[in-house]
Amino acid sequence: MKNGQPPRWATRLLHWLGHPDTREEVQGDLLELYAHWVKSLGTRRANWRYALSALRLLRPLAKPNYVPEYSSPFFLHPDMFRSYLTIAFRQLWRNRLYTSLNVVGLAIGLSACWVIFQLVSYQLSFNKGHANADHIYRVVSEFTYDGKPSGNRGVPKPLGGTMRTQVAGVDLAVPLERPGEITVVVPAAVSSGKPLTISDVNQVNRTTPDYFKLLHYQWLVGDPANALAAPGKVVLTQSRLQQYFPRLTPQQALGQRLTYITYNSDTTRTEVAGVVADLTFPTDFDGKEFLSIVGDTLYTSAEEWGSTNSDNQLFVRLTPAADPTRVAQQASAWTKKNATPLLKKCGLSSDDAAHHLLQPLPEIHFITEYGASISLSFLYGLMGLALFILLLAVINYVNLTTAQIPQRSREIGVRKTLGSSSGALIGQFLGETALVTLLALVLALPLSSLMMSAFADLIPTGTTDYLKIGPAFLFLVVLVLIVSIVAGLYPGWLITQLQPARVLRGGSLFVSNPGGRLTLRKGLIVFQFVIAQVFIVGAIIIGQQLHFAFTQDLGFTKQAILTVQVPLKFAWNDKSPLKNRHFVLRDEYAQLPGVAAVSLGSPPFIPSFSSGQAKSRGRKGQEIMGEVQRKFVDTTWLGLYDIKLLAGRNLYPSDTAREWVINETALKTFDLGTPQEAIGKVLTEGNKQYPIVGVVRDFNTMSFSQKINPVAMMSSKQSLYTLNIKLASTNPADWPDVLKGLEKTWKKAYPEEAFSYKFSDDLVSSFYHDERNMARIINLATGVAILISCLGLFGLATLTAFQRTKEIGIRKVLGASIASVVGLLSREFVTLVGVAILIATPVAAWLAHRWLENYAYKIDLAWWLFAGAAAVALLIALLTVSFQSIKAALMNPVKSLRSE
Amino acid sequence: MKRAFLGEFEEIVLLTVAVLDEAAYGVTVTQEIEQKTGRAVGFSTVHTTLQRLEEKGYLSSIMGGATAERGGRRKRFFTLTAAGRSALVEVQQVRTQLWDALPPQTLQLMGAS
Repeated sequence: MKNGQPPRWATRLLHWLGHPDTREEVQGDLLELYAHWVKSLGTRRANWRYALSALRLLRPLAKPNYVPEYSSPFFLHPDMFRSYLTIAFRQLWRNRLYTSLNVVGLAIGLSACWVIFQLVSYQLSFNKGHANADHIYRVVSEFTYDGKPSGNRGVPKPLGGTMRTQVAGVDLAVPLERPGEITVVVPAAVSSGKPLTISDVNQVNRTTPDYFKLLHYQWLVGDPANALAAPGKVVLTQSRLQQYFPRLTPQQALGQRLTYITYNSDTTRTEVAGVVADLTFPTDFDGKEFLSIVGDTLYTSAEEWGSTNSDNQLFVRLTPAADPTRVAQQASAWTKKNATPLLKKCGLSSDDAAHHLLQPLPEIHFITEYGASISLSFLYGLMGLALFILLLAVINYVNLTTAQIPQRSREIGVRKTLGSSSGALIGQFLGETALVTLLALVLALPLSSLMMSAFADLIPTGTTDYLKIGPAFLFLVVLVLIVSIVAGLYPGWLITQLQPARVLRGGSLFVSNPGGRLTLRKGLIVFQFVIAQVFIVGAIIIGQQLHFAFTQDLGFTKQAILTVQVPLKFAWNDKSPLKNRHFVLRDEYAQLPGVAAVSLGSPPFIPSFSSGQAKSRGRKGQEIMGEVQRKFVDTTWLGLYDIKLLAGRNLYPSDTAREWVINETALKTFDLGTPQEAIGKVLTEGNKQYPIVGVVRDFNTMSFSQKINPVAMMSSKQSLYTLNIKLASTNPADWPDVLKGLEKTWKKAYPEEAFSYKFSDDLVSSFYHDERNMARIINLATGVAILISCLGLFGLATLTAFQRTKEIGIRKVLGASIASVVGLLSREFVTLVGVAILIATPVAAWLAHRWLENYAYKIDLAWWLFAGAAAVALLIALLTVSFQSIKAALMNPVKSLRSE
Repeated sequence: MKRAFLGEFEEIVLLTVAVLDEAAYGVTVTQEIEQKTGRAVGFSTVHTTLQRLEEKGYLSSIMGGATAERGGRRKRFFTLTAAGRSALVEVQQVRTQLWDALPPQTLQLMGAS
């Protein structure tokens, strides 16, 4: 303890635990007294007294109850909040241009997110609403053709019953059959009292009573356990009840009669045994009418083990302890055992039997190999797309806001001098960002409705209805928060680095080298344009490939040809008097004026085809097996489609297939030599032999993603269901008259049936449905990416021009030309875009290459595609920047230099 | 008006502040009381009393300027408020009344006057 100094511990203690309000004067007073005590009493006693007084002055629990004169209020204090808001609105209003650029950019990003959120949340919610969904599985079949697995979502009809009784762990096994389009007859329609016939009814299911154990429905009337327990019963959903019996209550509907007629005139008379409420959540179980399959002998027939139809689905519920893989193995074993004898008869081995898999209910909506329309990866792709667009908008915001900081430096300097903490400053910037984001959100909501309506055909119905207020609101709140934080954090951090002394003196703003910041901003611009450039290249390449697919010679003409489907319910029905009407119709059509030719037969380009295994001996005598796509045509078909005969002759008319005309690919596959050599050779299919009478040039039968198959054309009168009509005129203006004539004749032939036709080129383009939708999405994304990036570029160019006003003025006074000033201002940005192009091109090339690998026939990735995309990007960037730089360059230096 | 209540020590402190006029702060008040009354008072007691009197509204305080001694710490100077003055006057009046009410023989016995 030093002389003349009071005990340190006491001082410290007093400092920590003394009353904060009086700390200063008490310490001072004690020090003064101590000096006095030392003089009058001596050091020892003075120390004593000092310590004692200090101890007695401790107020460990005291809280300050005074307001310091220059306190900084809590940064969320209402007054401060008002100040922030005022400043923010003034700031936003003063920089209207940048505000609107930011708002528009963010609004586009947010609306993309919002639209895609709706889509994705709707899709992801599918089948999740069912109770017990975790234990419900769909049983599907997998076949192996040529070593490649191929999926079928159906199973042999008897499998359900077998699984229920023979496989352990299967709690319920419910077959669900969709009989396709059906005609429903309401014998006693309430409105008219006359029978009412409704054709093309969808969403009719045939199933067992267990269906209602598997899935929970709310029963309005009827006994869930027994409603379908007997044949000839039907359960309707409420919506169908209202359609068929608009004036009946569910109670009254019980026992009403309905007749169901399938396309091949199988008639089922039923009575209503129950009414259930429609399911209100998204589900793949879209059945609206449930017919009983009880008593259907096909479900127990041994013959049925050999056939698998995607319309015969099977759902099982497993006990919680069961292992789905083992259940699937057992199911496969049963099918193999029962199907092998049937397969042997057709000359196939037991390996060709279906192999069964169990798919959990929540997943089946996304398994595209088994008929799902949408895949999870597509949804993730969409989410990525939305995220990218949002990211571009956020980058814009960061760029524009940081670029504006010099203009706001005074305000920030004053705030800092008055004691604002960095936390408060960052909070203020985050708040401003949140404000801009909210403004953007206000704009984004109508914008997203616009997007939704533009893509209405791609958006499944029910998407918007499904939207739940709670989660949607939460999503928007979280979205706004995240965007505000991500976009506002960096500018906020940057201003905390500001040196108030320098700012207020008018010097440079940052301690750090401003070049560093510039690099980050440049980096962000480059990043934006990399994304934009990849999109541009993508859009060009998809467009080119589609153009290629539409304009490339397919090997047949598609101009002015239309196809009309013959009503199969007549053509397939041996009892119908109209069974052979289409042959008459063909001849009548051929007589019509304006029709050049008519042929019956499957069009060259169709989505589904039948195929068979054909055998032949090659030139060296080796046996060659191969799959052949069958095309049933008549004698005018080749001529109508201008398919060139390379050798041999056209088919002769015949009721059943007796001879084949093959294409060049078949020629190669079966090693038959030149077309001339092939004539007269024989191909064997099953146990029938077909001499080759002609060889035609290859033509595409499917989209360009598929290679041309070996094709065999044959004449079989019983398999001709499509009318191909070639119009005489290629001028669309002449067509309506001809179409009218066609329809009139059609109505004479089939008075009850509507006349509907498809143009051949529409048929071809329908093959590229997915591609065209993708092209639309990518085009939109490209547009948005370019737009957002340009907004950012435009803003930055404006700002640079503004900041360099004086410099430009001086340059002009000293004799700089307008061109050189424009060049000066544009060069920097164009260089950045150039760098972005250099980075983006290899990425885009790789992606394009990957995408084109899906196509057997594709465009070459020519250099000019990339050069073109680069030119487009550069041009857009230049246009964006030049508007501002020209404006700046044209400014009169007198104005810019007058002040100061 | 509420009757002023002053404890004996409070009254002394209040009076001392009045005596010291402009120069009343913790140290001077303590020393003055020691000198004038000859009784040893702790600084902490004086400080606490000053605080209490300020709370009661008899004193007001103002921080002085920075000083060279005492580690540069400022002093808190106390002055009487109007309430403080009237409280003192009231206390004195009560005393005077009581003294005046004393019977003369008692007064003589005490040897005063």
